Amino acid sequence: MKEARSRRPVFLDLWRIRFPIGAIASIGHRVAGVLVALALPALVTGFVRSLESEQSFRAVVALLRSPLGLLALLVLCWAFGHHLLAGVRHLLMDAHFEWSPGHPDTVGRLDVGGRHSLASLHHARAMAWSAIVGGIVLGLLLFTAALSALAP
Amino acid sequence: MRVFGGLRPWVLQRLSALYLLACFVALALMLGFARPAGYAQWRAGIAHPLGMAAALAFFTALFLHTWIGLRDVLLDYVKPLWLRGVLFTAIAAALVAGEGWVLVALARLHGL
Repeated sequence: MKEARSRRPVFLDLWRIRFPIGAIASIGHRVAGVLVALALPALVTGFVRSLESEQSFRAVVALLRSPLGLLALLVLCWAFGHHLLAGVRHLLMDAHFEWSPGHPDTVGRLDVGGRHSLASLHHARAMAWSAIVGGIVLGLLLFTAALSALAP
Repeated sequence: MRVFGGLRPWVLQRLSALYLLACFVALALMLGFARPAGYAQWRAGIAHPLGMAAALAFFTALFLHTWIGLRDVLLDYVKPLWLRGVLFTAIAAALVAGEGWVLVALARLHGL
């Protein structure tokens, strides 16, 4: 076991490793999830405070409309948008949606549990790109919606 | 129940994700068609039995989803067992406290 491990080639030069697009979508999902988790104390506090009284409700809205509040909101909107779409990507992958037998762009043969003989790398890449670009778009949409909801 | 392995956390993660997704769509529709104008409406919406049930289920799903997600991240990156134990305990305590806080806040809406 130890012998096998020592012979395995190790290449961890982070500046030269090229991440495939699926890996970027995947690590983004994780980073975005951790960001939302870190924001949970603030989010729960905001929810509870917003219900306490008219005064504390106004304080929460004012905090969200401050420059720092808006920045945090923008980051969280992206994080949520990306986490949501990359999560849907994971659900689709669970359902083997990324495999597209017979697709003309299929580049190789990959036997996934014997269920599919052809795998489409093209589809997997398109899904990863959709999650990344869609996450940014959804994040901006959410931010715009939040801005209009916060307007006086 | 196996807490750190097996299919159950995986299923819970996906079920909570689907519920949170439904909540997000419902919330977007509500904000689009009838967004609460100010504190009174916001409070009344959450204080309504349906609003309370939805909010409670939302936070429960959110905390459950967070627990499984953070658990997976720690299992991948934190190798010393004692540190894992400390972090798992801290996160679990924080999430349970959060759920309790939400429960108290919702109960207070009805003067309980």
